[in-house]
Amino acid sequence: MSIEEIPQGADVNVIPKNEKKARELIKKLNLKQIKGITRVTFKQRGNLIYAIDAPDVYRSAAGTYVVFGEAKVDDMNQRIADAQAAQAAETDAHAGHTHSHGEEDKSPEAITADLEKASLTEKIEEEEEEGEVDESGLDAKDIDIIVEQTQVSRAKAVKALRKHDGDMVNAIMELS
Amino acid sequence: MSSQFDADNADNLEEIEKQFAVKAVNQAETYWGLLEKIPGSTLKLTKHDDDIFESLLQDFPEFKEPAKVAEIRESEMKSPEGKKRWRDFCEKFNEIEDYNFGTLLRTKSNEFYTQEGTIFAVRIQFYAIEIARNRYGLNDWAVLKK
Repeated sequence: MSIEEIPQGADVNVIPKNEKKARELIKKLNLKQIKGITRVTFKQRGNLIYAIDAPDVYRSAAGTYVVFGEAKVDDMNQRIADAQAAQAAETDAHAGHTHSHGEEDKSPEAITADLEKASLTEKIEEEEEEGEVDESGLDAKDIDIIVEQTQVSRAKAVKALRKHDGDMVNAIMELS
Repeated sequence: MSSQFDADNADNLEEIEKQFAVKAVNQAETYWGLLEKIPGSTLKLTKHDDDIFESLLQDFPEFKEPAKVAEIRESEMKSPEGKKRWRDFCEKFNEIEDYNFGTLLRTKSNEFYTQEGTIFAVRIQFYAIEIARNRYGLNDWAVLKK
């Protein structure tokens, strides 16, 4: 997938050369553009979400999708912090555009930074799982049942049970 | 995507429906897997089991009779009158996850999910009926079966 940087609220649509080429090639594949899609998200383990706002979506007859747009890490846990950071970054990027054309190189770097941040966040979460498990507010018997039924660690069982607010069937469904 | 989903331009409707059926069947299988391992009378389904059970008996006094819970009549549940009563009941629990998700429900507590004996309900109806069945010990046979 090619990456395009469009600061939110910018009226200029800058399409990098490579992406332009890719788009032309893809149009030859007989893909149909789907209009009206405002957001595409990829969900990764650990509740990390890569979101593309205002994407261009093409669909092949076989049901394969091609998505163009700027991917942003949308970590549910840090959503607000990210939103603020993104806004600041966008303001910077926007200012950059008015000064020079070389600023487009910034987008891969920004993505790399996002990815690094994402992997760091995931590591932290894993560490938490290995540590002491806080079972307060949960029924130890429920946790036992989930561990027994799904063969997962106690920490995972607790996490799933919390996520589903004590709902046994939903917690087991998520883990199995 | 959910908040931005444009129903008018939605594609692949059939796929979505299949996904939904897969989830409903998964849910039924998971629940049944639990009943085979753990006697229903000791099983807890949600944090709100007590509330749900209490409200059920309040709104549907007929379910104080275990036999009424053991075999439910779809025609009564889905009559205009029944639908209204259930709708009011369901809305009391709209805080519960998936409360209005389509869910399979056995009409008879003494049978597995069968083609004839399975009806379509919403999740909170499933909880209400199954919690009542579990409390009356009507599902305990599933463990002994093995």
